[in-house]
Amino acid sequence: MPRIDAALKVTGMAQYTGDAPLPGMLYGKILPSPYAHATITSIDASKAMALPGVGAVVTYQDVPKSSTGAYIPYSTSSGINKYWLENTAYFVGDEVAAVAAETRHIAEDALELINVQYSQLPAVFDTTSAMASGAPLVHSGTTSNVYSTLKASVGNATNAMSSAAVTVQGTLTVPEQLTSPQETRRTLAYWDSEGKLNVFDSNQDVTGWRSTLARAFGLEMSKVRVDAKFVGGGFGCPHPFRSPGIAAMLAKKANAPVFLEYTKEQNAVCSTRSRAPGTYNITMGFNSDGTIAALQWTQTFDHGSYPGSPGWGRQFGCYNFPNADCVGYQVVTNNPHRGIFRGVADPQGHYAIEQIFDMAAEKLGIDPVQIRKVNVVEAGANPNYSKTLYGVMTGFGKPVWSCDIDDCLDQGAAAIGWTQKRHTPGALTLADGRKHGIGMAVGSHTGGTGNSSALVRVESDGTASVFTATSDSGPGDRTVWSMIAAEVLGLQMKDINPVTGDTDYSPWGCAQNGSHATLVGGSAVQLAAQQCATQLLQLAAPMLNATPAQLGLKGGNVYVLANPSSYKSIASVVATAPTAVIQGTGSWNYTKTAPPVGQGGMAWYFGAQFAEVAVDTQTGDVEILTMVSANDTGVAINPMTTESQINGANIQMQGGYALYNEPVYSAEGKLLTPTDLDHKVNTIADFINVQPIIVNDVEPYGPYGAKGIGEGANSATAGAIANAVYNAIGVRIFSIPITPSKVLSALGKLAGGV
Amino acid sequence: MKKFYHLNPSTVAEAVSLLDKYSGSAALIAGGTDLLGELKDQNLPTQPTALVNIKNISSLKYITADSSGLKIGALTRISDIAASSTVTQSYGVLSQAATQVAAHTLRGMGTIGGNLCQHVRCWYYRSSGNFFNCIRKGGSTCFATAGDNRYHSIFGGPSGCVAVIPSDIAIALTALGATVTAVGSSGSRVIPMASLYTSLGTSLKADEVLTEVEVPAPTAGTTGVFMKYRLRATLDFPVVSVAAVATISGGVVSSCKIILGAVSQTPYEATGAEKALVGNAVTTSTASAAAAAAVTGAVPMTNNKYKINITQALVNRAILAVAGLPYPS
Repeated sequence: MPRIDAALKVTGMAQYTGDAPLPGMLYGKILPSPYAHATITSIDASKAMALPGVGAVVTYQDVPKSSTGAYIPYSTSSGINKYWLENTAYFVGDEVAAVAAETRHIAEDALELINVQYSQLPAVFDTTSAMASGAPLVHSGTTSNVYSTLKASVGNATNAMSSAAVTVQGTLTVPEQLTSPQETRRTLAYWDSEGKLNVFDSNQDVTGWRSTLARAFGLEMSKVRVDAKFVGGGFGCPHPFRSPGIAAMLAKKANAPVFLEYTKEQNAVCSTRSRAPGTYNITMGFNSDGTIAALQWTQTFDHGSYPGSPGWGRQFGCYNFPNADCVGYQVVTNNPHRGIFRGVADPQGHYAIEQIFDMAAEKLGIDPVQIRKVNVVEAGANPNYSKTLYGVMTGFGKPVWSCDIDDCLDQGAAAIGWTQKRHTPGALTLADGRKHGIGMAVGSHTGGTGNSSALVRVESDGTASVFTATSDSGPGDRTVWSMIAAEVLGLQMKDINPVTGDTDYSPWGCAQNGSHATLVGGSAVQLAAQQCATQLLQLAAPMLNATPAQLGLKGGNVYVLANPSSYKSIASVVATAPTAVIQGTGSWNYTKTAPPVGQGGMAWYFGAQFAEVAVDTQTGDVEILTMVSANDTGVAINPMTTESQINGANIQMQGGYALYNEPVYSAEGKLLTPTDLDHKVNTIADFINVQPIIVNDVEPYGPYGAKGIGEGANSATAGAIANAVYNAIGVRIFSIPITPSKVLSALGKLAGGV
Repeated sequence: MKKFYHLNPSTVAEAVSLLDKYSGSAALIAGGTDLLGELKDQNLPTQPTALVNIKNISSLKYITADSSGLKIGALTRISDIAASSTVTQSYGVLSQAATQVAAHTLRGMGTIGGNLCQHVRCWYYRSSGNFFNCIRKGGSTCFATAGDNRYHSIFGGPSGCVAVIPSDIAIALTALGATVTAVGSSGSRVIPMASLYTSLGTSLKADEVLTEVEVPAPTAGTTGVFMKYRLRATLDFPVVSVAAVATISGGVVSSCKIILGAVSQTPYEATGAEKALVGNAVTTSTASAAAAAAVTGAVPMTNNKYKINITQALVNRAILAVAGLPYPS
């Protein structure tokens, strides 16, 4: 099923934030900090305000200092509370002030007239420096740049390691990766004559931002509207840190609508939650049959200037670890903030552990596919789930309800010709002189840890509207929710009108994240539609001389199950309702530990990826030849958009994360790679066609057996490619991206020495 | 972006007169694909007061060829060069370079004149808000030398700047022995490609407009190849490029030009490689020896040693390709 809004998008008719300017609207611009760490000793905006056409300037002095209000999301949980604007800049490009003016040019000119005096502070740019004793503190009032140390243990890792058949050790590093959505950060805000705050934003969490804005400005929730009907690419970026707040402050001060835009560079450093870079120190012990004996794991993530995700990755729940000691250092530095880019910590964690698995498989003489098989978790009731490593790490008490990773491994291996093509590392040279390699990796993710509500209204003409506030940031949720409602009500897709992304007109919806808009949002829609269906059957029963249980919904009609030629149109049934309309509501509630009673599961995605590469040992170039991505997605409600997710994940991860993407900063902390060109964001020409395989496992707590795919599909890609590169050249490269320089260096061929 | 005057001359003379009037504070705009990015990012210390828009000078859009050679007006779009059968048939190196510039949409905007005059891509030079006032901008420091220089020069920088020429077209034209015509207030002059670039920019004066590119007709037996190594499959500048043009008579290379791109501030003539080939037949061993000679004297920096490997491999493959030999042999 093609996306229902595909035509709107490709013809330019879909209205994104700022596509419809408001009368009297001003343009907002951000003043970035030139320093990585500096206190603002004075800030004087009088000259900027005097410039004709300037409507407002806001600084840290204008932030509403309510006790629960204008904070950067997630900062409070770390104990480091940061307001939308601060009197300290924590990284180069940090928002210092904002201007609203009649034109973009005036706004930019006004920025230069804001006189800011800074007192520079020492800065740290990497976790080693940040964790060193005596290191300058990123945040005053703290005692360490390690804002949180995570620890989790099960069994006795030390003993188990010493008696393991083999042990494997690796130190691996993963880079930052910028989200790079097509639509950069933008917010249009205005306060109407009744004191209501209206915010149009490129946003994945409209309900969350509605609460934040209400708290910050001391407003009733009903006095805040956040609307994000169309979002130009998600990936975590449209979880803005500050811009809706800053735009609202500007609009309030200027008493005019303000359209705040971030430049591409500002989007990269200020408002995206890039993938956190990190280092892993891993030692794993294995038994001779390939099962894991013990894990010793230390991860260190550079979270940038403000605390946030990620913590533990799902690789810890994807496999069985009988004995493990894990430590995670969450470190702040004077880099831009990092956080919840698609998959959060899973592409990093799986990349790391999948290398270790391959090394162990080689040592033990076991097939890499087989070593995964003997270690992956199994589906089913597990009363002791909270005592497993992932249960200890997260507090999740629920077991893995559905897992079909074995099918993913088998189907993926068959599709790529694993057994036929596998060879000794470095053994196969292609006709063009390049080295051939084949590799695989497993990935995982979870979804479903959210709450959502929906309302479905069946109209008197037999069509239906679906209301839920969750915004569709691109995965095709509007289509999927409509399909669910159509399925329940026996309607055609053309008869469904989804109303989404708007807190004023729709019930509370989950954030569009965590791969749960289908599972959580879709379940709420399903429940709401089922309420309508029940009412329809009740109303139709006397009309068709039957009981509701004897009736069904199909083709726009209510019909007698035993006699389909006896039916009434849904329109004619709705007409008999007191208000000639039928409405149903549904709420899906997630609970962390209680056993599911009809609701509230956490669904695990699993997948296996296989890659073939060709490595040019003279240039160091790595070309991906073929890829297979086999995914346990649950029942794919819309296989077309499910495949889109698989393809999209691979576009970001294969050439991107595995081979090219690497933000570079100057010694002063200035991002040198702010554009897609500099950051080497993959183009469609770089995309190696992935053969997508959907393993239609059934998730018992998902709507029609569905679970999430959006994030998990990217978790195995880099690991599979890295293992394939090893298979090609026989030398393992312990960091991504796998650049020509690293390949040549690994081969000992780098000109002028390594 | 700062405000500027947007001036629309309809002749080259008018354009020159406007450039003269603004004496260095005006910038020419044609396709704008390079300039507009710089205006938005404000990476330069000063912003132009005026943009002299030369797109309306229709007399500068042409591709003509006769027995003496090829002439291309400066406003000819890259896509028109890439699509020209004349260029493809007789000046294949240029055609190959043109098709590898940026991506289709940008080739449809960018002109050959603009491509030759584009500024370097050094990420310190390009950093927004003139964050790094480097040597190329009149400062005293090259930030790349001590910083991240993975895409920078492997042959040093006589003025202290280690940025590299990003143009693909310039490399091909240099190998073809092309010249450009520049018209200024003191008249018109012809500049060989080999003299167009300096270690800090071009040799064009502030009041000069590049109007035409002229490529001499190749002698019989001449073939050429352009190769570009880039990370992305499209829409990417070269990590290294090479244009190799050789005349082979009687199985022996009688003359050749091997020009390297993105390895120095200017198109880099690999004279060592040329010497290794002239007078010899192209074989796997002479190609290999020439490739090794091409990178002799390279002075890599911290992050760009790999560019030497890529340069050597590309030169080797280009030479084999020019001679119609397979790779790998």
